[in-house]
Amino acid sequence: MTTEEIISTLSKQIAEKILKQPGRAIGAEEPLISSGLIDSFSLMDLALFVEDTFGARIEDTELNANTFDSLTQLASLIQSRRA
Amino acid sequence: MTFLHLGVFALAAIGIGRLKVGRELALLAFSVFVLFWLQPAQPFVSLRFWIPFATLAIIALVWALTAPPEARAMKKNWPTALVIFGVILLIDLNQFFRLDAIYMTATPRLWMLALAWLVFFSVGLALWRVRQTSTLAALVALGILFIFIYLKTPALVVKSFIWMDSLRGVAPATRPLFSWLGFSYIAFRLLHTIRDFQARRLPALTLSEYVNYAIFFPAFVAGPIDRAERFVVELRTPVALAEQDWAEAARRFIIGLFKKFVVADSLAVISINTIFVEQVHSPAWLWLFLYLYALRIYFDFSAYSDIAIGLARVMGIRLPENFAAPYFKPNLTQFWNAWHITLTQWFRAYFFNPLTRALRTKQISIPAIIFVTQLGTMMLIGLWHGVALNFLCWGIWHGLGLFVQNRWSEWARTKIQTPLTPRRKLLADALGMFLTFNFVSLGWLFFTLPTPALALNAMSKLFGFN
Amino acid sequence: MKTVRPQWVVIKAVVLYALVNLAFAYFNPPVGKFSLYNWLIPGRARVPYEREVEYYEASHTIPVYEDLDAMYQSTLLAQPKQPDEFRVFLLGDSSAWGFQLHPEETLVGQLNALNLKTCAGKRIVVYNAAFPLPYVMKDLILLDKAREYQPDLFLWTVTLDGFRNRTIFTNYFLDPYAERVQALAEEYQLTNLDLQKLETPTFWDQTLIGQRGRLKKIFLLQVHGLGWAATGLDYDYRSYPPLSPDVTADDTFFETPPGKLGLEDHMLFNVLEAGYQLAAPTPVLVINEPIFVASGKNSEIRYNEFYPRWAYDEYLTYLQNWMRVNQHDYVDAWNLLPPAEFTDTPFHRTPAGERKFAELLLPQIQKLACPK
Repeated sequence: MTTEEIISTLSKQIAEKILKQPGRAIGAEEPLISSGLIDSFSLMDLALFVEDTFGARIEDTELNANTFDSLTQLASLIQSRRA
Repeated sequence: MTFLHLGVFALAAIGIGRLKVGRELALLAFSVFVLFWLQPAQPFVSLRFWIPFATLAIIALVWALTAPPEARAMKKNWPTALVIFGVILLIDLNQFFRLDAIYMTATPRLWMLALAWLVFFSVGLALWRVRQTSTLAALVALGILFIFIYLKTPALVVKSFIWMDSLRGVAPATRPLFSWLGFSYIAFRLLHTIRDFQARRLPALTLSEYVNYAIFFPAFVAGPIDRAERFVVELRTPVALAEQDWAEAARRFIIGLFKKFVVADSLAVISINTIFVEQVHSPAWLWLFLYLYALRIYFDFSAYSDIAIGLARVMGIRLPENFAAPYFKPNLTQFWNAWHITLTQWFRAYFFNPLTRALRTKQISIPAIIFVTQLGTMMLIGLWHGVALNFLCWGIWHGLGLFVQNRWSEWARTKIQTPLTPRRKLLADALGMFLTFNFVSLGWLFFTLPTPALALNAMSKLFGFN
Repeated sequence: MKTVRPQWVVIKAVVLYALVNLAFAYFNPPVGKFSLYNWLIPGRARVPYEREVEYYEASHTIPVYEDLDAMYQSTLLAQPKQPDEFRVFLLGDSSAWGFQLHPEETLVGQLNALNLKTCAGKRIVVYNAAFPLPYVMKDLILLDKAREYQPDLFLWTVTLDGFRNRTIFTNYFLDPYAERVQALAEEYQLTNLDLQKLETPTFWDQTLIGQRGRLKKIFLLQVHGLGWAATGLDYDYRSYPPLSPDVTADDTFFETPPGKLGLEDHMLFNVLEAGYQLAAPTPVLVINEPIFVASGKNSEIRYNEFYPRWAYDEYLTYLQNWMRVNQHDYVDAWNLLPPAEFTDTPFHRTPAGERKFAELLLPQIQKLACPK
């Protein structure tokens, strides 16, 4: 899976399942955590989704804006974990 | 901390930051000294020695428990042991020099000192020999938590000292309350390393790195609570300081001083307290004093972070931010992303996330999970400030607030499918900010007034029922 | 981009700071004159005072005895004088200030409640200018300052205790005004006044650094103004044990044995004379304030814990005689009130006591308000 594919999968998941706004497009560089777009509960949901979908585990201590804040950063984290 | 302390801190930070060799050990030596230096008045004078001694002992033992063999090699650690031992020795020797202007001597009894070192070395040796297991780590973590709870329960502390008096056969005297300076922060740093050790995520840290992390002097009294793996990177290779960084560090330090000693200390005089709740009859004045309290606690607390961040930066270490304009946030969730950030991150990492993960894999409704996890986390954050009913209520206030806000956002999001126009968004944010600030301010009533009953009384006065 | 040189920034800051300090010491700006009181917040009914630091917050106050401007600017005294107003300033100790009493219960409050008028129809408005210390030299310094606020009459309550040479007070009350104290002592030949311990502030004491304590207090006095404005309270009313009708058998007056009082040589009666002259042409009415007279055990030895009978009687004779010889207006109220009208000390009065005291002063005030 390419980074672009990961980003679009994540973007779709966030818009539909977390934000409940299917029509919404999320920019690859848009801040997700620091902006408050994704709250801490949804963040865990996202982590579980990442684990199920891409087989990359994000630890409890990593769910914060320091580890990743945008889809690009998350996608590269996923790529590095899958390798 | 006084101006004198902070002045010395600034000079030490500049000095340590400029060192080419021995920087880490110099920092260690100064942090150990500060640990002794800042000790407040204690019920027994000698506690001013024993508390920092015990702090160091606990840190060293937890290090021995969690450090991998390669980090425990004698070759790497004997200078550290020597430096710590040397500083403690110098502090002990001050009973002969009597440089009381620098450090008020608290002379420990010689036999107790010998016994303490004996106990320390035996426990240390035992830990050195046994296998470093998760179970052992869990036991140690429980021990630290136990001390923490004891220290945070004033009734227990008072009772224990009365009990000690009765053991010694003396009448209970009025004395300064026992306090373990910095333990709230140190304990949570240690617990974080223990949890990460159990999860096999803790990087290999030498004794010097570990102790430096735990008692880093700029952050020793009031945080922030950094993460070990982040801190140690910059401890090993300090971030270079360009001239703008110097200016930025100085700016943070000076702003911190101003916020603490001018703004917060003045606001302290006119912040809501028991006296005002009893004496003020007009709700308008009471609201004013409530808002002033909200400002005061922000300025006071964030000032310490500013000072710590400025000092650390001079030494090439970038401490994490602890506050990010919390009162300008449009909702409570974002407020808690911007208030005492390092503490909330800690609770998220070690309580909220694991709990959410565990509950998420079970067949439980989402709102129920959110309710339980938010409320539980906020209650614990409340109790972190002190094991007392008022802090618990403060936690519940915010836990419920977060839950309600979460449900509201969820509902609103499904209703509003098209993005708001910029003007409407601005309006919504302004309204949200207003509501959030007021909600948080009302919450401070539980935090600052000694009993929940008084807080409720104040609330009814604020809304004109009285 | 311009590069910043930290060392130059530091040097410039230090030089600038030094200059500001020197300029402050040189010009000695009247910082105390700037006040939020009587403008953003209502003026206080009396000068800020609280004995215990830990009660400053509960009392919404902070005493600023280093700056008489700041002290008076925070009170109603600093309000502009109305054309139809006849201003009366009360000087004295804690009983004049109104210890344990709400402003409306004090002597000043009770006098104002009487709604007095002068013969010319002016409103007689009484202001509390007292500071709680029994020390006539302090009163003189206050009288000197209070003249700036256009008084028409001074009331000055005194008692034997206040005429003692209180070197213990000089340091914190007189030192900041050492130059003025010395000038007054010279001008009015206050030869009895013990000025050995008086310390004149140096030039360095006058810098910003030297004055930081005073400046901080002036600032905090403004901040406490909000608490005062919101609560209408300027004092934390604590309960004290009531006075006992019994007194100790000791017959000394602060360790002075009978016959050794030396009123003429050691006591500060010439400060009274200085007050009259300094205030002129404004008249001064000196009042010997009421004292508690014990009725129980040892009351034949002492009037109260402050005064053995012999000492107070000696003082009373002396003062009355002095007033007669010098032909001053004078009210003696020493035995005006029954023991029940005193609270925690032999001087502090109940509201009813204040009322009675006010009524006693009424004809004298009216007399002085109507020049022949």
